[in-house]
Amino acid sequence: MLLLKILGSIMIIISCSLIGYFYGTRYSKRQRNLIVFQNCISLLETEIIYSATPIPEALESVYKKGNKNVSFVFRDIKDYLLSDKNHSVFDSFVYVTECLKDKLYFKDEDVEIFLSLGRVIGSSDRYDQQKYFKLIHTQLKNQQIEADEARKKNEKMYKSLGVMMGLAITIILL
Amino acid sequence: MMNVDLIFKIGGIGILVAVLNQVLLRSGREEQAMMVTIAGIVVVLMMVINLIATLFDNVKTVFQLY
Repeated sequence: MLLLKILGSIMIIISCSLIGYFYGTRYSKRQRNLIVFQNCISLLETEIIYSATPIPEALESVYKKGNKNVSFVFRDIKDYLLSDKNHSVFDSFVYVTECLKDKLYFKDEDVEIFLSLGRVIGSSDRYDQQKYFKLIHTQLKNQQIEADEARKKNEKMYKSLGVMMGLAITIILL
Repeated sequence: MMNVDLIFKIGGIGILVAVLNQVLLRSGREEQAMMVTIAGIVVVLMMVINLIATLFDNVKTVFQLY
C-alpha cells in the first residue's frame, strides 16, 4: 500500500513538473525562433534586393543558408507555391501560419507581421520592397524585445509553478 | 492518541503556499499570489473543520450545554 502511494506521488510530481517545464520553455523557444527568423528575413532580403532572384529560388536558398529549425518554413512556402499554378504568394504564406504557431510557438502578432510581408513580396519593385523589409525588421525587433520580457517574467515562474503544483497535489491527496 | 499525520500535512501545505507566494510575487503577480494564499487557507480549513466541529461538540458535552 505504501509502495503504491509513493509510486503514485512520484508520477504526479513528475508529470506536473514536465507540464510546467514545457509550458515555460515555450517562451524561450519563441524568443530564440524570433531571432533566427529575423536572420532568415535578412537572407531573403539580400536574395531579393541585391541578387534579384525569383521568389522560389530565393526561398530555397534561404532554406539552405538559414538555421534549419526555422528556415524549413521557407521551403514549405516554396513547395506550396510550386505545387499549383493557382496558388499566389500570399496563399502560400497563409498556408504555413498554422505551422508557425505550432512548431515555432509564434504568437498571432508575429504571424501577422510575417503575413504582411507575404502581401507585398514579389508584387512591386525592389526599392519599394526594401522599404517593407525595413519595416518588417523593426517590427520583428519589437516583437523580440517583447518576447524577451515575457520570457524573463514567465519562464522561471511556470517551471517552479509546475513542481510546486505537483507537490501540493500529492500533499493534499496523501 | 492524536492524529499526527494531519499536522504534518498542514505544515507541508503551509511551506508550499509560502514558496508559491514568493515565486508569484517575484514575477509581479500580486493578485495570483493572494489567490494562492486564500486557496491554501481554504484547503487547510476544509481539513480541520471536522476536528473543530468535534471540539465544539466535546465542549458542549463537558459543560452540559444541550
